[in-house]
Amino acid sequence: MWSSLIVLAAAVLYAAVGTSYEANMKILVRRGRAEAPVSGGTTAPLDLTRIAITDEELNSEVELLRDRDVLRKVVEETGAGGRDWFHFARLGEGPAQRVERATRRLAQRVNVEPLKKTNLIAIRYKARDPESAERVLTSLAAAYVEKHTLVHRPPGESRFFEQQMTEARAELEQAQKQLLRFSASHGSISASLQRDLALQKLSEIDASQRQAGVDLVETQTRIAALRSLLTILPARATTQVRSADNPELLKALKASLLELELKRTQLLTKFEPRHRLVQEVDRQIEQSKAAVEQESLHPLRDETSDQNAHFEWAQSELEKASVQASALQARQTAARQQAIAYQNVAAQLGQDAIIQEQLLGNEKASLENYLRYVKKQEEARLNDALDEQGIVNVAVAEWPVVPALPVLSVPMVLALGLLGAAATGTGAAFVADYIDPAFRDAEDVRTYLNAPVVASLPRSARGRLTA
Amino acid sequence: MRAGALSAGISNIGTWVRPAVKEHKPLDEVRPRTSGWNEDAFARQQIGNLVRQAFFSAGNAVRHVVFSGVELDSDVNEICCGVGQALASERPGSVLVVVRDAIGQNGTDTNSGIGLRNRANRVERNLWRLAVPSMPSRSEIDLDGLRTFMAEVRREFEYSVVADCAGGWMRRASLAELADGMVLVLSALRTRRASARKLLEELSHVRLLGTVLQDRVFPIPEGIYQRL
Repeated sequence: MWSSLIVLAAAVLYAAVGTSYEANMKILVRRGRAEAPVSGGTTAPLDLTRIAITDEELNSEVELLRDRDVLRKVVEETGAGGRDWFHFARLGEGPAQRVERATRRLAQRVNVEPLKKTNLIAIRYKARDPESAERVLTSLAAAYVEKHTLVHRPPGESRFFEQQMTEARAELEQAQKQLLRFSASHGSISASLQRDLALQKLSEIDASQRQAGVDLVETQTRIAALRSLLTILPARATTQVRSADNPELLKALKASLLELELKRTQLLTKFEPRHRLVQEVDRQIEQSKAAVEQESLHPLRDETSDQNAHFEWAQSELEKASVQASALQARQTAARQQAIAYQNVAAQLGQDAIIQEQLLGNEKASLENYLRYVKKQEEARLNDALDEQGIVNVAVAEWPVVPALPVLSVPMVLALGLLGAAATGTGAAFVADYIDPAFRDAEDVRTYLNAPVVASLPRSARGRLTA
Repeated sequence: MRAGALSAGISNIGTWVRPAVKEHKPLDEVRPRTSGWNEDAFARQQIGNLVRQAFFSAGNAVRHVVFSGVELDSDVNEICCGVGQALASERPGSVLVVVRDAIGQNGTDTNSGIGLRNRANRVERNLWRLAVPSMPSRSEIDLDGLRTFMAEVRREFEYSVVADCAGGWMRRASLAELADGMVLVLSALRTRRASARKLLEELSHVRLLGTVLQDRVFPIPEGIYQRL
């Protein structure tokens, strides 16, 4: 009964003096401006892979709302947190300690909770005074946004990039000076190009030299062939060969033959063929015939010779080839010397090209670096400007308003108190009854003592058992 | 349940009484259910049941019963008076109720030389009441005196209801052995279970006719109580 009365009294007291008002606020965390991180590339890639706010981001914002610095600021602005029951025992405390205690109390009273499956954070705060509840949350919102901006964009970023830009510009100028100095000292604007040209020239000269060598070999071979040909060719060659027979002789022979044949005939008229005179004439005829035949077969040759044109040609060619061979030799020698010269030039230009390329690379890298920092500095400047305007990735979706109604109405508190008192009393009674070592009822006696209960007399009948 | 253990609004929400058991069956304690319950009538009914079960359940074997409490300061005089009255109304025989006078400390005055009937007060036609002084708990047991006293009670009265004062268990045992049996009186929400059990163990050789649970309270209806 006493516990019930205490609970009921507490409910009545709470209804009378402890009515609280609750103010609510909601903060939306959204995907903010795409902030390009500092990277080696000229254009830092934007992270577009994440579409939703992660739990880590949401919880980070929740922790920022619970941050002691933020709450301390709210306490200093609004005086929230109040005093606890033992404030009278700490009269000697300084303002810092009081603020710290108030901050701790405020931290316990402010309820910050992310709403599931949303990007919202709900903040609730109860106070005795409705205006105070609204004021605290409004101050909390302002302090939180400021803290959020400070945390996500630390100050000095623009200055940092500007400083880096200056250093990069100095490096760029240095690299350019080096390049110019090199070009002036080595007399080459583009050593690589010149090297390439020299190499090309060298290649041509080499080709020419080779060609000269080939030609020389050819010429020498030609010379050898011509010499051997000259040994073969006669100096004079029969230009004309006339083969004519001796007509006079042939005529005479034929006349003689005719005479002989006439003589034979005449003899035959007189003699037999076997006659000596006939045979002699036959023999003479035979001889004449043989002479005629031989004269016919071996006419008279009349050969006319002149200088052999081939020989002369060969001679001429030989001379020409000899001259050509000399020229080719000279050309080959000259080409060789030229090739050596160009080789040296190309080697030198090659080294120059390497150095120049290195210097060009440095200059290019310095330029890229410089341009990157220029871009970053501009981005940082833009972001600072946006931050100053309060354009951040969090927004107060629901501003706190002065609550018109308390969290629990007085009748509700009293009803809850009554219910609590009933439950407490019943529970306490039950516990007391349970732990009571005394007998409660007849069943208890029968169970514990195993003895029959012959009478169960109510307390209220005391003094009235007898008539 | 302790009186007043509940908050206001739940206590005494109503009681009811089950009709008395007339067949001397084990007494079923009933709990109040509806309003209109007469406590006095209920108590007298319980006393009547007690008389029937203690005195008449074993035929005529039990005529002289000792009522004894557990605690040192337990008072069983009223119960004894109620039992005696009920017994006298049930039977025509003479009934003596021996109650303890807490003021006197002179021991059992059994040898006063005056007959019990003359010493006792006649309350009704067949009901006498005798007040004897309470014996200090640490005093020595006068077995002879007790024996003589009980013999006189048996001789002069047909029935007797003796209220035993709190004392050592030996004294109680002695008195109960001289009587036909003993009824142990327990107080609800007061008598400890362990104490009662210990006493019964020590009085195991005594004939226990039953127990009486007095000072019962019914703050919570049966249904709610059982659910809890």
